[in-house]
Amino acid sequence: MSFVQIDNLWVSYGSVTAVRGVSFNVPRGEVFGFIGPNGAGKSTTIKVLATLKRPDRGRVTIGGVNVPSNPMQIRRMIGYMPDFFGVYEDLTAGEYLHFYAAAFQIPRSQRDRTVADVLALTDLSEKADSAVDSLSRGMKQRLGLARVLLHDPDLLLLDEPASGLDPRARIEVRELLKALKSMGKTIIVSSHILHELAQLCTRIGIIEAGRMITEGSLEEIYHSLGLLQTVHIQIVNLTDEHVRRIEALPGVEDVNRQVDRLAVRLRAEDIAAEDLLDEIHALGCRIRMFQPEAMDMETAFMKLTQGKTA
Amino acid sequence: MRSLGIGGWFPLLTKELTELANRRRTYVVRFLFGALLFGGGLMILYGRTGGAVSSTARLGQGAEIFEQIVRLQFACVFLFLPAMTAGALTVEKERDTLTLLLLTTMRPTAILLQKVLSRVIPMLCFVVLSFPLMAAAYSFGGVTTESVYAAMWVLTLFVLYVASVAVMCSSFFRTTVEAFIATYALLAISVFCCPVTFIDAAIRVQSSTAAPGWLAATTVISLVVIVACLTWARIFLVHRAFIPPRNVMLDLFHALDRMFNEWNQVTGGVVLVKDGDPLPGDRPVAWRETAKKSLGTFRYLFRVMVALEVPILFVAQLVNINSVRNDSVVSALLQILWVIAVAMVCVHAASVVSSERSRQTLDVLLTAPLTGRELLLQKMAGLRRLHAVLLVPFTTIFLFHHWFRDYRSEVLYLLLSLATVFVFVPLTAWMSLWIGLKLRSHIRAVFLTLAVVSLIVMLPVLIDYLFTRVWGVRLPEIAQVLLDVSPVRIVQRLEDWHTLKRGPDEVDLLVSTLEIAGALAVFAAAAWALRAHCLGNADRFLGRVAEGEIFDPNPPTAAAVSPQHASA
Repeated sequence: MSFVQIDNLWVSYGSVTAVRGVSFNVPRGEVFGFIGPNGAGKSTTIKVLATLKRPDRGRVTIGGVNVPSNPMQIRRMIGYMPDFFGVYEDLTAGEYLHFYAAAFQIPRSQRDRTVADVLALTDLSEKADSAVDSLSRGMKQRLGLARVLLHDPDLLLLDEPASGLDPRARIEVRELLKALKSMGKTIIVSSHILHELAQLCTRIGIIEAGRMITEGSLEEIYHSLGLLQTVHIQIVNLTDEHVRRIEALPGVEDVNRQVDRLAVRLRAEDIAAEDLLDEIHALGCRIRMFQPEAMDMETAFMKLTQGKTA
Repeated sequence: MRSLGIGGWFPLLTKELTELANRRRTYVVRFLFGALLFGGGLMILYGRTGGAVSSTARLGQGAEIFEQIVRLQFACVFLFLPAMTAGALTVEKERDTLTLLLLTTMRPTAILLQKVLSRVIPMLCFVVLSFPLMAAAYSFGGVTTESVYAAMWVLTLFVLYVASVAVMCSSFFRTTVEAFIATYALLAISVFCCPVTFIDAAIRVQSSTAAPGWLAATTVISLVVIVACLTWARIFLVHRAFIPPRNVMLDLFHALDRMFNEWNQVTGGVVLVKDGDPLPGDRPVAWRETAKKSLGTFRYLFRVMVALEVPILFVAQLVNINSVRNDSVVSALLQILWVIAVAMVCVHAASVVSSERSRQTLDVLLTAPLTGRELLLQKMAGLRRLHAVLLVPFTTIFLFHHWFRDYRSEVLYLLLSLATVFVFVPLTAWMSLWIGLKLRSHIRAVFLTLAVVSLIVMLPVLIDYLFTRVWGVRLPEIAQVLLDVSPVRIVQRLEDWHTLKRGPDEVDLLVSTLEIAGALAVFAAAAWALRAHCLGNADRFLGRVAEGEIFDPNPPTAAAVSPQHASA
């Protein structure tokens, strides 16, 4: 049974319907990536799961518990990080976490240890006494992640956790999410940075204008769209003959000869990257680098969406 | 503006005026200004002689009417212009759009002047509204043409003066609320402290030989202040364009802390009172309200109490040693204390939730497993402390009156007076919180709360004045009773307790006591009802799903909006 179940969810703000019949399931321990253009309904769906928005209709459950009917029980099971969250200028990072530890009713005797643990996990131990307001945006995001982990929730709802971050901070957040994934947390994460979701998520859902366009594992979506996978290869003894013979391999769409490498595009359903490696090796090529791209999410996204909003 | 072809020269001014024209609020303000001006103006015109008196009977009274109309104009400008101008630059800072403005080819001075003009032009249009009233006063005789010109000139100067002070505060502060409070504080100080007043300059032209001197002095002084304010505003505009949001009052208290800590080294670091726990216990929201906020922390509230108590004790001592002949000055202090107390409670209570919304900290807090009722009660913890602190200066005044007026064993005065503080302060607090819960914007919540409270306070006074003093109409008994039990009248009647007590009729005293006690009971019930309404609907007001709400996943009404139907 899926841990998160959403069935025919409808949500509106006054006369504007933001979510129109969205359905998806997330099994326990999986990372579900929620993709869609601005105004597609991602944040609204996450807000429904976070008990901040009452749905108009539809069934929403987390761990078998009905969300709109049992909000208090749900709040103990989830950790929610909105796309932008303000901070209390008058608190230090340590006080901020103690504040939420008390709000989540963690016993006093355990608070010091819990706060120290989440600070260490997010690499903020040295900033415990710094004013929250003085932290960089990346640190604030990590502090936000530390906060959602305080009460050890089963489900993390992360709305654009990497938006507005510099590359280093983004990588730090991504690594942190990978660590949480390895801890067995169920995560629903929305993001615009598609290739990061590809590295992290076990399933994705693409939403546009309040409707779920597609949902499934990366491979399922990849195959259903007939998308091409690119593999970057450096061959030491490369000749024109090698290029011609690689182009002739079954499943290879085309080969683009670049200054220091070949960019080979494959039809994933016809040939796997590891089989291509064997084939090229069999042609007598000495391979210095063989790097398949994770997934061409941008192409999938562009192919599936039309830029509409709800 | 566009039709004149000067929109290209003043793009910001054009944009500001267009935005103002598109806002509903502009027309509401215009209506209120006009209603206040013409309502007041007609009261002045007809109030003096009564509507039934013939026009000829009013001849020669124009000067006095003119003077009152000019005073009314100043009051309207003082009331409306700071509210209109205080947000001129802070709104840009709050929306992060000031950076974009500074990156354009417009110079900071041009930005500043266009912002000032965008507020001054509508206000001058409002001022023009009063010209028919001035013309009416002029037609009654006794007003010279020079007086009219002088009044128009000084009013224009006053508009520029207020606008420049407000825009200076707007460029200095980070938020509109801070700029708004600072503007009124600065203007109040300048009005009370400046030896040459605008009103004097405007009305002395016709009554004094020294008038040209007053006018010239006012012109020079105000122009110097205007230029100085605009220069400071220009400097702040660039230097304080990117300041992070700060609680100015808290910063002030922190600066005082540092100073006191330095002084305290002499005593070896003695700490008389320690502020609560350094970390939250089981009531984290209450902890933050009482340990981290400026109007919740004990030692900061103690400073507020000292600032309120010292002038009261000083004046009471002056009255005691007969330096001041009667205790009416203490009554005046009581009125000032009520204004300060109500303003503090309004701003604080309206801000507790709306400021969390504005700073985007509320959503995260709402996902904590605290009930809405619990959240609101904890949020009000700081206000309860503020209420307790305000009780001290109020009690001082009531005890002083009790002793000075020789009430001896009479405890009713004390009980009823203290009851006013126990009823009106919580009523104000819960009403302000309710408004703060309903509105999404912090600024709107604070302004609307202050406006509603001002209306509740002023309306009975205005109605009483209009009917009995101006039109000479006797109100029906029930209306008169209702006016007598309004909050302002209750406070006023308790201040006049000694006249009633020393009067010949004991029945009057009893009736009055019962009326006041009954009215206070009704107000207490209203405060309780508001509290129950806020707490009962806390989750809905805060913006999250309420516990125990029945949810139908397939409501019958939604069937009409099937996916197919919607997609069609």
